[in-house]
Amino acid sequence: MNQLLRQFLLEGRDLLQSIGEKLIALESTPDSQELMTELFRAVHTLKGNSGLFQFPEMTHVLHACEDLMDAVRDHRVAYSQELADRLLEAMDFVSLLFDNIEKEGGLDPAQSEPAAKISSSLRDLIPAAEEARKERQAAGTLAAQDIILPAISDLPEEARLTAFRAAGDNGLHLIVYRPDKECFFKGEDPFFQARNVPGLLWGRAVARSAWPPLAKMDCYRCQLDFHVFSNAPRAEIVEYFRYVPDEVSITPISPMALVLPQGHQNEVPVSRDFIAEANRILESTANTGVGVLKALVQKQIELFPAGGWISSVLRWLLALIEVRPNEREAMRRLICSLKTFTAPDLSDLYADHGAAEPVPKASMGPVQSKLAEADRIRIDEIIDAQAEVLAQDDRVPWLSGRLESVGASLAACLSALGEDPLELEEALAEALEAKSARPLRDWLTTFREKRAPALAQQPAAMPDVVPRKEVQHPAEPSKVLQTPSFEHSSTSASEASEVKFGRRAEDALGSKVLKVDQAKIDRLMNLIGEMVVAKNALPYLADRAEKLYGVRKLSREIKTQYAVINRIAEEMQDAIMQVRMIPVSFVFQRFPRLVRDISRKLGKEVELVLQGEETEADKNIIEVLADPLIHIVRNSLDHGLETPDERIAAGKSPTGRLVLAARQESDRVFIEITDDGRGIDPVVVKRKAYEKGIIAEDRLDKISDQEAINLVFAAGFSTAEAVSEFSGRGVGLDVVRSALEKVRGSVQLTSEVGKGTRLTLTLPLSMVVTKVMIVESDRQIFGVPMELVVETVRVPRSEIRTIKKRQTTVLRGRIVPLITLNKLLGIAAEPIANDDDEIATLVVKKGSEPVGILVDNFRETVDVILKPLPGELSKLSFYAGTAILGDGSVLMVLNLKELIR
Amino acid sequence: MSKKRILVIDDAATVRMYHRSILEDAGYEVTEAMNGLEALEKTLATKEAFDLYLVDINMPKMDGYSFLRELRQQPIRQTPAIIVSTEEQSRDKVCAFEAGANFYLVKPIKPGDLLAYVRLLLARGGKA
Amino acid sequence: MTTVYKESTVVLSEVVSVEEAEDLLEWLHAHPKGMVDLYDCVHLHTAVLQVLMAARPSIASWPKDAAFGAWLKAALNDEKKEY
Repeated sequence: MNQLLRQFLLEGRDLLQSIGEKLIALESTPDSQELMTELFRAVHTLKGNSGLFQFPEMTHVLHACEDLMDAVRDHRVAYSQELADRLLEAMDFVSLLFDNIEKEGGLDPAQSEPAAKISSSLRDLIPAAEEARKERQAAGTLAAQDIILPAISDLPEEARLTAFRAAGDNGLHLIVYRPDKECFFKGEDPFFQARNVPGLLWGRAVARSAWPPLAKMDCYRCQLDFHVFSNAPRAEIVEYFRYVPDEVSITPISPMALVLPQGHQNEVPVSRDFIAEANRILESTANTGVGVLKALVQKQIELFPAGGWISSVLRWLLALIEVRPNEREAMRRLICSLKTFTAPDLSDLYADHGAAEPVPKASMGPVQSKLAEADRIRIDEIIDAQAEVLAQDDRVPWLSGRLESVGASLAACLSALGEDPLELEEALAEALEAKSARPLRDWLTTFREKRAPALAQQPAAMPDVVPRKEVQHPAEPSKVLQTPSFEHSSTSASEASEVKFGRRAEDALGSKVLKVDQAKIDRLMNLIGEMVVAKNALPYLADRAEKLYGVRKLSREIKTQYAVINRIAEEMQDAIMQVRMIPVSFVFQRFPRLVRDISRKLGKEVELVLQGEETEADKNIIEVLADPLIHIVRNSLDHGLETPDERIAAGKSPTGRLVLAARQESDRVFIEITDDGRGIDPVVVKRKAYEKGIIAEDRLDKISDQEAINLVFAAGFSTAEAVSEFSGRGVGLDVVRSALEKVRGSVQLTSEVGKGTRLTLTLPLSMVVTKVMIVESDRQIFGVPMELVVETVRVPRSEIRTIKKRQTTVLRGRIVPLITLNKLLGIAAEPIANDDDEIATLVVKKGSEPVGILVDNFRETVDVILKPLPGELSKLSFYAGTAILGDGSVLMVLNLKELIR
Repeated sequence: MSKKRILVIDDAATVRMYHRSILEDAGYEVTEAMNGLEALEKTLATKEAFDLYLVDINMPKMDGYSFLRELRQQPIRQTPAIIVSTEEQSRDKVCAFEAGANFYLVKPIKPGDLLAYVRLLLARGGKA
Repeated sequence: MTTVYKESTVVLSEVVSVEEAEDLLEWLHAHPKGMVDLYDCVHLHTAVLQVLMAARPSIASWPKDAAFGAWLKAALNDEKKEY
């Protein structure tokens, strides 16, 4: 499980808990605006978090919660017991999803059904739900309930006959799939989706409305619906349509409902003799009669034109005889309709033909004995479980109940296998008599031995009653169906795709973009990452060619070649990274609303300025940014910016200014959040930090104002009480900092009392390839992430002074404390100086202060893929991870921030 | 044919709801109990015996194991029971079988799996 | 190439992707009597399918894949209007 996910779960659980607590608290103080706001925020944050992952089910539910809370906040809905109950229930469900995620790393698609239920039960409480639904309808996205089922009589008889004959134990479902009009741009191919529905029996494509003249047709808007009959279990169908639950309706259909003769009625009536004979057969109880009837019907069919009513009735009669020979009443009514030329009403015969009750064996003949391979495996599992039960200690008062339940379970298995339970029953009786599991155990052993060879002889898998229609499609079966050649573009870089789409490129495409499964891009990303590392092997090879084999020329050629490959690899990496890039506006766009809402609540006037929204960074990075930014902006609004009165009193304009600015510098993205509020008073921070025990008394006078301000990042600083005075609430800046550090970002804070505060977030553009400098210490090599390295210098030993037992030196007029890497790593060796008696010093930033780290030597910088340490080792916080070098050796990459903390 | 009756025992309403929706969609009749004690009461109070139990382990008042031990000493004691655990731990499994469970599934259960095992365990009358 | 335009026939083969829809639409618009050969076709993207459904061209030959052919015949042959 990746770190982000872990964090999400960790934070999510806390949020869930606090949501629960607040909901309860609100019951006693339903008017508390503050509680309400906090509750809303928690829900909102959680929803936002869930959106970072592929958890559509969770996001759905939380979104509904959020909308409901929003309505409550705006007094469109009154807070009530029922409302709290439903929200709590929804939170239980989210918590269940958390379990699901934690255990399996993802969500079971089957959750989408309960998720949809919960969401709609929440939305039911919002009075405007109806309006919103209409809006959605107008926008072309339809909820499942808006899909209209075709009348059974509108489905071709052939389709109904096929479905009727193939309806199995899993029931029969009519699926109506109404794809989103814009679905092609999401890489979907609904036709492909429809053709591959599990248990497909029949399907068709239907135009939603009359086709326009070709000249006016927009072929990139989906105008087709799909109707499909399937005999797969409902759960399987639901899973198959997991990604478009709003676009399908899956309706169970009783096979008998399909029995509906159709045809022209201007024809000679069927002979009375046939009707009389058929009725006579149906009235007799003999089973053989049905066979006779079948032959009769087959003969009659030949006498009537296929398009007529009579022929149709006869076809249905035949189908009934063949598939449901026990439905004599239905047959009788069908025969009657031969005379009346009106469709028989069979609705009272629609009995439950669902999955739960298999049709009695006798009526199904050999078909019933076919058992799916999956069921055979499950039966074996159940039998194995019984063996385990029988292995338990016999000396318990509930032994006989236990034995009987084993007996019942095994009997069920035998029944499913179509085997005789007699011996089992004898063994059970014996066991109960002897008060011992032994007789049953012995029987089970024999039975399993018998079963094992029998299994081997079974054909691998019995063919289904109706062979599934396989499509020879080159694409792999995958849940999100993608057309391989779709361009993805989030940047203007893919003009090519627009050209391809021809004349409608301007009006149809515009900002629309065809999507590609993220997994595919991730795969590309990983591959290029490996490529970058693999190419790093070439310089080693060149060196070996020269030094080991003495072929200097070859070495040079390899180096030339390396330069070429290096350039291509870099460009490729760049290109692939571009694909994953999304603009900062993705996160920024929520702020106008947020700032407006919050500032209004707080009675403050705030002008929000967004700059550089088009700046791009990797999707993961941008997404990580969302939460910290919200906290920071909230801090500014809550505590940084003053009320209009306070501002006027301070000689400022009544409207505060909050600037969110993004920019890119080389391979880093900078986000600055600047307000012109009251700023942070270092004196207050110092006092609070001292009270919280974060700094010792003797340091109080020594730390600079900037250092004092940085104390707000210290863990434990921003507890509620300290916070209420000037910064942060709930989540402190320490969390912001650690969230950023997880993606190798950092945060700086500058503030001036009375003037304002500026937070600068620095993030890498991408997370895949890391630039690392290799350093040598005590004959070992270590990697140091380049982003921390300010500079590398060689300090003459003579210039290193020891002040109060601490080594320092002066660099550019500034005193820089020095530490040896060996000491940090617990290696008992002194750093080795070079021939000029200089010591290699890595200057890194500790907060905003430089620190020199003494090593034996610097080596090259390389691009690596940083892999976190596995398992228990991941707890070693001094290591950021490992990387494989070009020569195949493993480089330990240090987490310098932890080391020098 | 009358519907097969299943008692779903779990203290989490969401889990009950989840199982209920799956089972009801497949045509079973579902009764819920919030803990072992309530399940036992419902078992004793009902005229028509349940055909299957889905039993959570950790519940207030009476946990899943205790419930099963009690169940297996009642007049109708042979009804198959599936323990539904949150953990795939062999220790839990052994406890479950010792108490008289007949199968062990790990939450969250995929609907297809749940339905298949339930169907197979009910393949006969179930009330033998 | 999965789409080959001849004088009066367009031959669609293998899997016809979404990108072909636009060209096909234009061609069918320009050739009202144009025929479509689907013999070697195994799948049409929905966009392509709906172009064919809207244009209703004559079909020179149906796909050799019968199951796929059934879908297309139902969509392209049906006399009844279905909506």
